[in-house]
Amino acid sequence: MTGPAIATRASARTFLRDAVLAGPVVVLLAVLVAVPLGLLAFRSLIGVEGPTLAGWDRLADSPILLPLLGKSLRLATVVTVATCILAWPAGWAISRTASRHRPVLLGLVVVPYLTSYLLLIYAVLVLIAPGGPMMSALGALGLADARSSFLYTPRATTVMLVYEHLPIMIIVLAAASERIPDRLLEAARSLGAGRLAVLRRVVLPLTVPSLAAGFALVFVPVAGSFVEAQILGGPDGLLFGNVIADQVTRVNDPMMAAVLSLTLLTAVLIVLGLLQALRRSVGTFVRARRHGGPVRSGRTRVLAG
Amino acid sequence: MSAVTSQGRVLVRRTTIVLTLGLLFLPLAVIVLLSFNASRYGTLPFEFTLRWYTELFGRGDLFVATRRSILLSTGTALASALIGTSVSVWLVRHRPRALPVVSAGLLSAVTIPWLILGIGMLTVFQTLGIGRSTSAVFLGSLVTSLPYQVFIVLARLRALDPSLEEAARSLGASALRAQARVVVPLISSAVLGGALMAFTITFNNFVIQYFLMPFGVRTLPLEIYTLVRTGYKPDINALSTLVLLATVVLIVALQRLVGGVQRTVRPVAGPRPDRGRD
Repeated sequence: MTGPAIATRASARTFLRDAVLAGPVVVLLAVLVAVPLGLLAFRSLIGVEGPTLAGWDRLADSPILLPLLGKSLRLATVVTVATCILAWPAGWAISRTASRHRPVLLGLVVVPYLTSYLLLIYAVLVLIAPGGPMMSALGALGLADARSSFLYTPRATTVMLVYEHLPIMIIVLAAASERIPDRLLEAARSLGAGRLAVLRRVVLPLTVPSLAAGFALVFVPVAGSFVEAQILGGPDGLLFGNVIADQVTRVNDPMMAAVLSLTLLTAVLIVLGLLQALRRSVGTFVRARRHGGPVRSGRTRVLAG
Repeated sequence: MSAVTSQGRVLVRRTTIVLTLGLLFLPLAVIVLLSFNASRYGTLPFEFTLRWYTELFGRGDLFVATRRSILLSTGTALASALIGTSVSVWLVRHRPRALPVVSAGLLSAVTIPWLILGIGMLTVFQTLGIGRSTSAVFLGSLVTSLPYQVFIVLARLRALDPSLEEAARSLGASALRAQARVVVPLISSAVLGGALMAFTITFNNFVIQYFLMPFGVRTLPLEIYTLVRTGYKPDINALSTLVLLATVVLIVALQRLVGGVQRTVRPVAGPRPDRGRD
């Protein structure tokens, strides 16, 4: 056999190996992740009678759609920040428990997250329903009327979304806090840092990267949520996601579905980009501090070297 | 003095954890409790009954929907284990340069809101002339589960000591035999863990099923979606309790297989561990 023939056979074998091992996943990702985005862009610009900007014009001219997008993004921000605030103490506390208890606690935290979220929506619906357990308890305490409830108002959607995403945020923050060793805090304290200074100068800078990841993990699904608002939010609770879903399931308008999907995706990507930029600038800031910062650079360098 | 403050700190920590877990489990606990309550409208006084469980098994629609969900999730988990593991092996052993591209694709599948991904996939299937169908749901579920499968197996493969495989080869094992007898047993728990994760994600993936399932054919999340809008249903309480129980069993299994759910979420969620320390 000649040299080139062997080389051809070898490359054919490599090709076969690549096709068998990687082919299915690569094709799936291309056809069901990359192509859909291209196709949405195409559908948003091509109508029945050829190329048109009609869909985008409708978005720009509508008095409802863009304000609704703003509402969805604001809600996603509020939910994410609330989730952070609620999750942080628990995440920190779990990271400081004995390491043999930690898997059990994290396993418990994740139970609601891995349960079907439609069941969670149903559970919250039952809990806060007028005359339901929570309102009855509040009524018995004289804090609220047992037969009234905030179910079927936008606030129910907010509460549901926070509840739903609390577990993932706790896990992210517990993982981040785990990486901050106790001796670092002791060192800061022994150098005279007060509680607030330890939090601001040690804990916060070391948690920011994970916080950004947690932010993205909650913000993205909340910005695209629609079932929670549909079931719990009542008539005033509609979100941008509901309008998108309705274009497919009720109105059957592929062009508007594409225009609105791309609008939401762009908005989400812009927010994630800003987040990344923020994270980077905080990172640079922390690194500058670590290497001495502008004020005491000389002294620190002496100490470090 | 300092002993007192550290005791106080432990107490604060415990209270925080108990309160948060209480908050997380309050709605679920109410449902579990109500599933054993005789009242059709969920009212007190509490009176024990197993009636809703027997009614649940007598109801054809919920039973069929549950079976459909289990079938779909099992199929997705098997397919995801097979192609997810082979692509991970390919990325680590044969073509590490392809890692950034494939990771970007997988991360997009978790970063793009499923609402948009679902509508995009529906558009593709409609263009292909397939439309809403069981195969569309299967492929869509597969794409949304694969990231977890691949990242879990990749992490295990990277942690594997290559000298083990070399040792097997130097002792006379063929490349295939070394893979089968050394590598496969070492990564099998990660593969299984990834498959369980794929099962859970598919079992609960309402959005993809909402857009890709044929009209009238309902999986469990779609069935619950239809029922929930009509209000309180005692037999859904019974069903929720069973699903909750299954979830707990699954989490215990995941803990055993991949050392905790936090590890299965972290590779997708958090900053990459290899970049975390510099």
